[in-house]
Amino acid sequence: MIWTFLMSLALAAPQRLGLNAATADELVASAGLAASDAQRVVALRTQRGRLQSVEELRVLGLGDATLDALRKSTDVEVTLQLASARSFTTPEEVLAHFASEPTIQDVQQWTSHYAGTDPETVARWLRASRSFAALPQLTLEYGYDDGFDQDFVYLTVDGNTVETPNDELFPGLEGGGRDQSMDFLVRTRWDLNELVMSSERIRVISEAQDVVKLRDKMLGEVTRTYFERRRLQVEGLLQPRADLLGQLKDQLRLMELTANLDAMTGGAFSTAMAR
Amino acid sequence: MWALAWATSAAIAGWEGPQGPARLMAVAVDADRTAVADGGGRVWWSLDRGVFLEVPLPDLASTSTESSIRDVVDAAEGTDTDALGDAIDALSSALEDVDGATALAWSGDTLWVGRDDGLWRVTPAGVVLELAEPVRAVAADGSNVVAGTRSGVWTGGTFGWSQVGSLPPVNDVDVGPSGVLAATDDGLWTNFGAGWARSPGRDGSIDRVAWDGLVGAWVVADGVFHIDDLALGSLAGSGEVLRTRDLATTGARAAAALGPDGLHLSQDGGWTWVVSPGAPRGDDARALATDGPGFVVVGEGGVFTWAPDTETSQVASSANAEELGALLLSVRSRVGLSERAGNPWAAVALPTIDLVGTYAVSDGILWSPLTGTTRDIGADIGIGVTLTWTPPGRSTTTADSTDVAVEDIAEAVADGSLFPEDLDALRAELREGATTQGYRVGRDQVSYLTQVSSQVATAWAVRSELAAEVERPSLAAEVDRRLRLAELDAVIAALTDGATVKPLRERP
Repeated sequence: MIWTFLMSLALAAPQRLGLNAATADELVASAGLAASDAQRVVALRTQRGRLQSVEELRVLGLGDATLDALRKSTDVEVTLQLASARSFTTPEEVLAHFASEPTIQDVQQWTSHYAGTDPETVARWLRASRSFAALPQLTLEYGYDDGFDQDFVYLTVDGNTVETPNDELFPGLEGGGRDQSMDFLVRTRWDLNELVMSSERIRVISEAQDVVKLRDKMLGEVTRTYFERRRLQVEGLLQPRADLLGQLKDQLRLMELTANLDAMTGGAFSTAMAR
Repeated sequence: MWALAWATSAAIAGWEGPQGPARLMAVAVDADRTAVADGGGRVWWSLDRGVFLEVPLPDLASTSTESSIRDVVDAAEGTDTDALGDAIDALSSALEDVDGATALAWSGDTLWVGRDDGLWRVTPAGVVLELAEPVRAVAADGSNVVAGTRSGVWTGGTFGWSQVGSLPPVNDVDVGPSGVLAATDDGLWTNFGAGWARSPGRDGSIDRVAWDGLVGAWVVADGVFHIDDLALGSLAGSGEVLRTRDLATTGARAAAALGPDGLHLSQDGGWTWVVSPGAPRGDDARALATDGPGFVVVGEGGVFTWAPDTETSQVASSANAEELGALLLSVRSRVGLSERAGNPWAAVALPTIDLVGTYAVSDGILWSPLTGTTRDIGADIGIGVTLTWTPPGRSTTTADSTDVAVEDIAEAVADGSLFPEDLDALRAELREGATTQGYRVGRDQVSYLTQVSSQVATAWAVRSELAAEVERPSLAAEVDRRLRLAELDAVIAALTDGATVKPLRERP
């Protein structure tokens, strides 16, 4: 028997769309998506068969505002097939059931990459910080000066001065002149002591430490989530709850944990699952 | 992890055991020689690890403990509460003195015994008083012997004993090829042959100190710390074991610390410690010494010899020890946590170089009916070099720019997004120079590395226990155990930048 539930906290709101049923036009009209984004959502859904949560759509590179609009305007239905305990004989057999899912190492790497905290990124910063001090400060200066001396004195042919020049007078000049000069300066400065110890490098080291702390925190969280999800899956295989409500709760928790993994890996988890 | 096995308990002739007047308080081991002492100044030695015989030292004069107890009783019979308080304080001091009263060190065939009445030289030929000064610590390295007293450190030579400078009251000393270390009531002091220098980085009383075999030292204060670089005074305080009574080292990175809760062992320079199961605890354990690859512990039950376990799971222990060591090394070499800010003193030696090149051209014209037109064209080329040395610690931020930044922060305080009490700290941070920044970043780095190392060691220890379990009978329980193992592997991989995993899948 297959049960389908609508996962929504606002069942009374009739305008909410089913994420797995809405057309591109409806997504544009109700969620305010751009037409191209709506078509990409529908294409992804078609490719995967169905979507488990809005977090899966992170793989499309949609912005936070778009994802938030989808969360507010759409529901995801839960399809539940009442399960009974399956028969396994060895632990290897149980764990092989999840062989097609991403490993925790994959998930950790995707998380680190999505958060921009890869060790490679940090190493790149640190490498760059070492070269700061090797490059000099370069200063270029250019100066141009054009001086024109207009303090003319008008002279007659016999050398007498007159107040106002006219055509009868020799337009001689005395004391007039022009000076032009150009100056170029190149200054290069190396702080050799910063090759050993510089504020800039120390700041980069400090930032690198913060990034490592952030990565550790995120990887700790994603690891905990991954294994909580896996334990829930194992429990569902070996000791499924007998009642419908209990199984529904487990299914919801599984979806929540999957969505959390997608949120931390930028949708990479569900993308890998779909493959 | 070391697997230590309890081996033997030797008999001590004349020692009265737990019911006797004084407890065993000190032990010294050298090759096949062992010596122990009690709080009352009595000393026993065994030259062949056989029966312990008492060394014929004179009895100490009436102990301060006895007189102090009498004072307390007398004061209690009176009505002066101040006098009673003073008497109790005096008794406490006397008891503390008793706990550390006797110091022992071997130097070849000679046993050196430090007591309240002086430093005694003990050989098979007899007992000689070498230094008539209350001695609290004694150490020997080959023919070099040093003794710590309330007035400083004394060293013995051909022409008798002489004091090597004055120091605060000395609690412990150690001597090695590099020089002498003194743990005092006011910090750690080092002497590399050019006088005493106080090692910065740790204030207050230091209880014990020991060379680590390289250039670092183990220090006991309010815990056990390892100092990596005495010359720079950098404090790489790492692992910590509280209320340590005694300390012994078996190598550059390995040490044991004895406390009320047992024998703590570290193999990674003090980053992580584990309690050795089965070791004497509480009052049963009073003193500790290195004995080859193992240890000797003395306490109420006598002398206990510990050695690496060669029979039970030695292979597994060795493999695990290597594995943990590699993991912790990975932690310390993580990208972003292994960078060093640089040496400020080396930075001082390097100048700022200014290289300036100038080129100037000029063209002047003068018109004159008398002299005609004259023109002057010229060019100048110049090159200059300036070298500037800057003192360390100078702020790289100008006061003006700092104030602007602080004003921005003040706005954050006003709108409630920053607590006012943080403002001063931020102002100080903005104004600090590269040297101060470097120290702060280094301190934060050490602190976080310690935290991560501890997490890795704990995860590794739990994982080792889980891995050693036999397969659980229930399928669900066994799957859960395997998932737990995988989770611990993942935690360790995350904290070691994937030191334990292979290349991964590409991101989809």
